[in-house]
This record gives sequence, structure tokens and C-alpha cells, in this order.
Amino acid sequence: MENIELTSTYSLKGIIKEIFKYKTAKFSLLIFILLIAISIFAYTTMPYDEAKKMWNDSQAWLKNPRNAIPVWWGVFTGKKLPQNIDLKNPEIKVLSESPEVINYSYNFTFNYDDFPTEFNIFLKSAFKEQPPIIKIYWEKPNGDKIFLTEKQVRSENDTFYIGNEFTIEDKLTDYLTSKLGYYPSYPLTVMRGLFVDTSGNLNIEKGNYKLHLEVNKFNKEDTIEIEPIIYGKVYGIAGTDHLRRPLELGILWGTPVDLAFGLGASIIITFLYLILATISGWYGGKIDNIIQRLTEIYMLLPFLPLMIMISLFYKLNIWKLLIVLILLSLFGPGIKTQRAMVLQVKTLPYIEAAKTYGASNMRIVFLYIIPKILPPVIPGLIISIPSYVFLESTLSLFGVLDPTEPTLGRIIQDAFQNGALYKGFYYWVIEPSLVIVLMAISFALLGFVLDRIVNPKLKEI
Amino acid sequence: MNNNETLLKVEDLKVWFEIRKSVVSQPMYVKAVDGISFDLKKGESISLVGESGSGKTTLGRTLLRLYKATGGKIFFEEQDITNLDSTDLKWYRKETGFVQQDPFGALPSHFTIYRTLEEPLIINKIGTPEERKNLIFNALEEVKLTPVIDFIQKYPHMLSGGQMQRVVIARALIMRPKLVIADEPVSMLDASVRIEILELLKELQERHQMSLIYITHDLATVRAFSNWIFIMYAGNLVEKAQTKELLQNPLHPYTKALLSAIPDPDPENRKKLRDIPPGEPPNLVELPQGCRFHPRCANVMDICKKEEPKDIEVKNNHWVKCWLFQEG
Amino acid sequence: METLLKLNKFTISYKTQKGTLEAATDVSFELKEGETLAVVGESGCGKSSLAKGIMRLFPRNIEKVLGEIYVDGEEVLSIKEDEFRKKIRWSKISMVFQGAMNSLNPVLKVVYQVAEPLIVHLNMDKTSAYNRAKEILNLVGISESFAERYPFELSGGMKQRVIIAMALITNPKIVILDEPTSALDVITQANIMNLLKILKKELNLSYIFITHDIATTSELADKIAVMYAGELVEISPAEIFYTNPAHGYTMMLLDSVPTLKTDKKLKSIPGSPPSLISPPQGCRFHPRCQYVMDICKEKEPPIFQKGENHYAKCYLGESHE
Repeated sequence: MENIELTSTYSLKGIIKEIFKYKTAKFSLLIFILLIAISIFAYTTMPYDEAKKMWNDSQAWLKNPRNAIPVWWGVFTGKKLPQNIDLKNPEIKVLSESPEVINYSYNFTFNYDDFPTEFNIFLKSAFKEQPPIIKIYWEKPNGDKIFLTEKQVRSENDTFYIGNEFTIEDKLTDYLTSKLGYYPSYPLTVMRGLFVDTSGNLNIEKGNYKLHLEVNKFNKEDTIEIEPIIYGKVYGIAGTDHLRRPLELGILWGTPVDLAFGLGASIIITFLYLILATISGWYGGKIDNIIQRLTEIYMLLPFLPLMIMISLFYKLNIWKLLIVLILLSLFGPGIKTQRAMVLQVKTLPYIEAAKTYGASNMRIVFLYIIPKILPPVIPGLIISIPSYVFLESTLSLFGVLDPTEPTLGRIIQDAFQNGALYKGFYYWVIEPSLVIVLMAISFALLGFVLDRIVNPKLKEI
Repeated sequence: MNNNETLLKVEDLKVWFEIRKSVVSQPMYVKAVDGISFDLKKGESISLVGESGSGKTTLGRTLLRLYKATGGKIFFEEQDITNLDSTDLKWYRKETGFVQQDPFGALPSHFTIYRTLEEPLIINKIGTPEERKNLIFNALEEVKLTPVIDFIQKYPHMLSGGQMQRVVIARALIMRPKLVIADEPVSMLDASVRIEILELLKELQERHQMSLIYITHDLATVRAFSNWIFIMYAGNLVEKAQTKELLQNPLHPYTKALLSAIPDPDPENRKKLRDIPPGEPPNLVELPQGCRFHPRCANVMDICKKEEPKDIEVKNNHWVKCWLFQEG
Repeated sequence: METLLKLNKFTISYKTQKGTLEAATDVSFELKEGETLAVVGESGCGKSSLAKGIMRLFPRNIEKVLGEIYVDGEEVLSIKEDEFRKKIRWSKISMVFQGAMNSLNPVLKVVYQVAEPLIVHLNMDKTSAYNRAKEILNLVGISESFAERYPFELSGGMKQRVIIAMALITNPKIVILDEPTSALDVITQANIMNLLKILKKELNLSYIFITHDIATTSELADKIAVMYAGELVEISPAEIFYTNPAHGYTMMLLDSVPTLKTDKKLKSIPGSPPSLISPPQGCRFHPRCQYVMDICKEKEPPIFQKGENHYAKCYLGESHE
């Protein structure tokens, strides 16, 4: 009998207004919007199929360092860690006309505190008879020019793995020994040898370095494209994995997939529950009995072991997983709770009124009952989204999902398989996990807030 | 004015609900409506008065065919509707309207007022969307919810109790039914609002020549309202008479008790006790033998304890179910 | 006759999401020994808040409590909660809550529930407490066999009698009854009213009887107070209340309620009660009053004395400056 106007929490505007009163909700909405923004960005910049192909194409990533840590993480180590140095714009000098010898000189400054990881030279050449021969010289900041090696290009697309060449290692050892007067106390690798100073300790010689490539062509018409890359220890916002793939892309492409999976599973399953619960509650009798008994049997089934078994027998990609998930969750515990609400709503006067003006059973189910029990159901829906995302990651971890799909769970699985924690590549595990956890927190918080808003209304049902 | 045609004819209507204490025990019956007969003419109104547990709510709902009768017959415009199933009752839904007690629960909270009023029209395929709009606007004007534009987009919880009840009435009347059943339409409203809702109902009933069954426990509200008063007790109609007649000459002891139990605001009331029968209405599962009121009746006779009295027309249009008025 | 209860400018305000809500504003009245005061008002007028406030039962979002309450001459709003509980609540003043009959503990026998205050509050032993409980139950018309039953086995009227017994068990002087009969049938209501009349005489009780039903006030009340939007707008002896109301609201209320015997032209009150967070300026009832005058819209009316023991907050019939 109260004439006081209640906040209209039955309209979307009302609910949104209420949501903003809670600080946790603003926070979670922020994360939610961020995730959606990432997903939209990912989807518009690269459609899913292309992304998947690129993810599995090892050739696409050759120019990235392997297992590089994120740039900002490098700051925490106190040392300035080297980034990738992609040498470009060489000074080209023609040394002689025939045979044609061209000198490519690359100039760069190296002021980092740690040694790079690899040094590869990518060569793309076109030649008539014999491929060109390249002499490689290394000039240190102190002016010393060291002859590293002489190699012949082996094919049209060839790579020189400078860092792995023993001959170069020997050459550098000789150089250093001559400079020091004694054999260096630390183990010498190519990368160390290229950048170490002559103090006798493992210090970096900072300054201007030059790379000279003397290309001897057999025919004038031969062409060559050179791309030397000195691989750093850091890369990008998120680092790279064992296949040199930048994790920021992996997370970028994986997030919408997981989000879509979680949302899709959650929404479809909740709606199935809604419809089944309402039919069960409304019709009562035999239909109610059948649905309830089926639900109880389903609830007894061990969900995760079944999923693992199914995925062992059948190759599952993420979308087939979704279908299996829905089938296995068809009659779940949600049906019981929602049916209880339906039974309550069934007794409300307006349902009776609907019968008197001729509403059919189906109409009452879909237009009168379901919209009424929907608001209390939504928080549960939102809170269940993270659990489906976790499910996908868990199954990935067990190795039962398609390994070619870039999802967050996949990244974590790669990390574990390659001993990330053992090797100290913590970022590799933390980053995708953080995204999943953020997703979970934001949805859970939003769900809890919605619950607090909507639940008092539950008493009014 | 009033057509002499009979709209509704009820013959010995029984509505019993089965209850079982356990799967194996004998079934028992809650005899909510146990042998009710009456006629209702077109355009007439009846106030059905009874306390809770008298079965009046069940009677109302059975007449609307929300429940199915266990025995007896209901004739609407000479058609037997007692046992029709839902597909055959579609036409009946258009001819009846229901005004419920609880305005807060009677309107779906997720429909706007416009949508709520449109539902009966959509279901029964009445009119084009344009025509429906006109019907809805008219309906809201009739119940004096103006300006209509203000109300159509609102949701029920934005309205006061009285306003909500007007919408309920509008919805009940929108298909111009011939019979309207109002079950305690004002008991959940504030005292100061009741009279205007009742007057509205009466005005609309007279204007559209509808028959009305007004179910209530509050005798004070029936005075200016209806042609007939029926008194219901424990599943039976114990007295039927025209309004003025019943209020001036109540015959059945229960009717007299009801009338004396209702206070008028008289400061002398506090100085004396009211003369009312003790006890409470019987349990509808275990009804007393004979006349159902006999355990509480001051004028009880031997025959009252053994045999149920029959309906007697004591005066013109004044029936009582009481041995005090039987001959012999 | 001594004054048992005196309220002086009693004000209760709550904190709500939309602002401060004043449920009761400057309520003042007196209750003498053996007297019954009826408090009449519609939903949302603050009468239940007032009743609970007299028992110092405030909700969690209570903000301010102003004014004084004197019980037997002693001021009780300022004393400690413990003291109030021992001396006043359920010893001098007890209460029958609205809808209490539906909140009886379903798993405890009726006699235990009535005896509980004695066992817990007064440290009586079980046997004496039970005996006393059965005595009181008998007094209200519940026989011994029904005393040993559970609430679900009792009818509505009987449950209400149990609630009344619970309120009487500690021999209070004042009983506050909040809508004691609104959920009951007409005849059962009359029976309960009869019971209350008998108890009043036998136990020399004073009642504060809260209801929205003006007609039933005449069954018990010696004095009637009308509440509107948190204010006590009129208080008047029963003899003249129904025939000589002084406040616009009282007049319109009496004109809107149908009665069985008296014939009169009925008119409902338009509009709805105002918000207690931001009540209208001037007289709170003026937007709905058919007798409204200019001054009503500007200045809040003071309490005028309209006759012996008859007061109203209304400019009608007053010459004003």
C-alpha cells in the first residue's frame, strides 16, 4: 500500500544507475570495457582465421628474439637490457667493379648493460650461376676491426647464424686473448665476444659499433637483400615465447576467443536452464518429473573427467568444445534453483489474470514468467563466465585441445611444456594468467554487484 | 434498462479439492463450494459476501473457469461451460473480465501499462495495431487515468495502489466482457481511495451494461453498490436477497451476526460488548453435520444438527437456507 | 487519574538513500491510567514508526531521536538501553505488533512462547512460568489443550489471542496494539475487540490502539489521534471526534469511509500522501485539502485548541493574522 516511488530497478537504466553507486562495479566495468575493446580491436585488425594461420607460421616470427622478456620488466632488473637491433640503411660502397665487390657498412650504438642473445643475418638473393660470397668484419668502438668469417650464400633465402659459428667464436677468443694477455676467465660465446670489453671481466663495451659485409658477386646482375638482426633480451609489452611469437599478439588474439567462449557458454547454458526450468515448473506433473530426474542424473555425472575423455577420443577445437560443454551441462543445478523461482512466480496474481484473458501456456512461459525471473538469474550468468574460461584453460593445460589455436590456455600450456617457470620466464605464465584472472575478477565483481541490486527484488517475486 | 435475459445460471455447483495425507491413505476433500445455485441477469450486480474460508474466492475463480467444477453445472448464455476444456473456452475468455485483489501483483512488472492493456487484445486477435491503440487510450480514459500519454509508458511500480487498480479494471474491461468478477478489489487499498474505485466500477458497469459479481468480506462497502447481496458461509449460499431488503430485514442468523459485527463509528461502542456468535467458520474438510452454522447459532434446533436446510424463498426474491423458516 | 505516558515533541528521523526521512515530527500526547488512545492514519503516515519508537525499537538507519517520553513521570529516552529494557520494555509497556500472529515460531509450542519472557526476562523457573502462561492464555480464551499445541494448529483468531497473551504476561500497564485485527475476518475481529474490552476492565489496562480503520476505533478509544505525514494533526475525545472533526484531513477521511448504518455522501481524498523526505511547505496536507486557504500553503499551522481536550493543527475555524 506504499505510495513511495521505488527506484525503478526493473528497467535497464535503473539497474545501470544502481550499478554506478558501487565502487567495485565501476572498477569491474572498466576492466570489462577494456577486454571488449581489446577484442574489438583484435577482431578488426585481423580476422580470426588469418590470426590463427599467422600464429602457427613459424616463418613469420623469425625476426623476433626467442623468449624475450617484456621491455618494462627489463627495467626491474636494474640493467638496461638490449632490445632487438634491426640493422638498416647501410653505407654502401662499391669496392671494385669486376668482379663486383660491394661493401655494406652498418653503424649502430650499443649502450645496453647486457649481451644480446643471437645475431642472424637474413639474406635474400638472386643469382645466375654461383651465389655470392660474403666476408664479415666487426668493428668495435675502440676502432679494432676484426675479421669474423667468410661464407658463401647457400640458397636464395639463406640465414647466417652468426651466434652459432664456432669459427667466429675462435676468432673472437683469439682477439680477446691478444688484448688481455691471457685467456679470459669467463666462458666465451660469440655474443659475448662481440660486445665484451677488454677489462678482463664480463663487462660490455659501450659505444659505436660497425658491421662490415663485403659482398663478392659472381655476376653483375646478381642481387642481394641483407637484413642483419642482433636479437635483444627484451621485446614488446609482453615479451615472446619459445617460437619467437610476441605474447602481446597471442594475448590479443586469445582474449576474444576466451571471452567469446565464456560468454557463449554462459549465455547459452543459462538460457537453456531458463527454458527448461520454466517448462518444468509451469507444466508440473509428468514433464516436471522427467526434467527433474534427468537433472539429478546429470548432476551426478563427473563433468571434468568426461570432458577429458571426450576430448581424447575426438579432436576438439574450441567451438566443438563449446558444443560438448553445452550438451554436458544441459540439465544442471541451475535448473533446480530457477524452477524454485518459477514456482513462486506461478502463484502471482498476474499469471492468473493472464489465464482469464486467454493467454496460452507457452505465451505465459515466455512472456510472463521468464522475463520476471531473468533479473535474478543474470548475476549468476555473469559469475559463471570466468568458470567457463578457466575450464578452457584447464583443458588446454591437459593438452587435450587443438594446439594450433591461440588461446590464453594454449599460451600457458606452451609455457609449462617449455619449462617456463624452471627457466625463469615468469612473464610467460603470469601474463596470460593475469588476463584470465582479470577477466574472472571483473565478471565476478560485476555479478556480485548485480546480485546485490537485483536480489532484494527477489523477495518481491 | 435491464434486459430480463439470464446471463449466468449456476446449478448445484460443487468444487471439491482432494487432499491426501499420504499416498496410501483415503482421500479427503476440501469442499470449498458445496451446492451453490443462483441466476444472474444481464446488467445486474451481485455482492458475494463471506469471510475467509467461506469459499467465495473459489466460487469466483470457478465461474471464470480457472478451476474446474467437481459437480453441478454452469450455464453462460444458455451454453454449458462446466466441462469445456481450454481450447473450447477461448470465446469465454473474451466475455469475462477479472479484477483481482492485489494491485501490486496483478500487473506484470516488466510490461508497460500500454503493453499490459494490449496483451488481451493481441491474444484474442482484436483489431489492428492502430485500432488497439484507440481501444487502449479509451480504456485508460474511462478509468480516469489522464492524461493518458503520461501513463502508457510507465511501469506498474511507478503508480500508486489506486492507479494500479484502475489499470487492472481497464484491463478487465477492455474486451467489453459481459461478466466481470471483482475479487476484493479494494481491500488492499487505502481507506480513502476505496470509495472512488468502487464508484468507478459501478459507473462502468452501468454504462456498459455488464453483469458484475463483487466478492468481498466488507459488508460496509456493498450498500450503494449492487442489486443483490449473497451471503456465503462454509461453501453454501445461506441467504440471497436484494440489497436494501437484506440490510433492512436480514433473516439468517449468520447474516444478522455479520451485520451486528460491523461497527459504525459510535463513541458508545466502547462501553458495551458486541453480540456475536462465538467460534470460527468450520474447517472445510470436516464440516459439521446438518446445517454448517449450527455449532455457533444461538437459535439452533435439533433438526439443524442432523439435516442440511434447503433453499426457501421466504419473500419475493429473498431466499434463506435455514430451518427457522421452513414450514413444518 | 495519573498520567501514565507523556510524549513531548517526539521526533524520529531515518537516513535513507534519498535523504533524511522524518517518520514522526514533534508528536505530543498524554495517556492517562485506564485510557485508550487510538492513533488513526493511512499507510506511510508514520504510526507504526511512532509505536515502535515509543518502545525504543529503532531500525538500523536511525539518524536522530528528539523530544522526551515520560513513563510514570520518568523520562525514558535518555536512560541507558539496558535500563530501558529492564524497567520499561515489556514490563511497563508491551506491544502487539502488526502481523505478529504470522511470526509465531512454528516449531515451539504456544505455551512456551508465551512463557518465554518470564523465563528469560524475569528468571522464573520453568514450572511457574508455564503455569502463569496457561493462566494468561485462559484469560484470553485459549483453553489448556490448545496451549499445548503448535501455532499451525490454531486459527487466525486464536493466534492473535496468543499474541495478546504474550503482551500481557509481564503485567504491563500500557499495551500498544498495532493493527491487531486487520488480517482477521469481521466476526473474529469483533470477538477480539470484545476480548480487549474485557481485558481492559479486568486488568485496568491502557491501550494505544493503532489502525487505519476509523470505524473500529470507536470500539475501544476514549481519545483519537489522527496522524498524517508523520505529524499528529488532530487529537480529540471520542464523543465529538466522529461528529465534529476540526482538521481538514479528518473531515475528508470521515467522508471517505463507507458505513453500514449511517447514510452519507462519500467522497475519496484525491492525490497521495507526500514524501516524508521533502514534505510540502506550510501545512503538509494542503495539496489535497478541499478546504485549503492561502495561509495553509505558506505557514505551517500551529497547534490550536479547538475545545476541551481537543487540539488540531489546522487554520480552519481560526481567525488568523
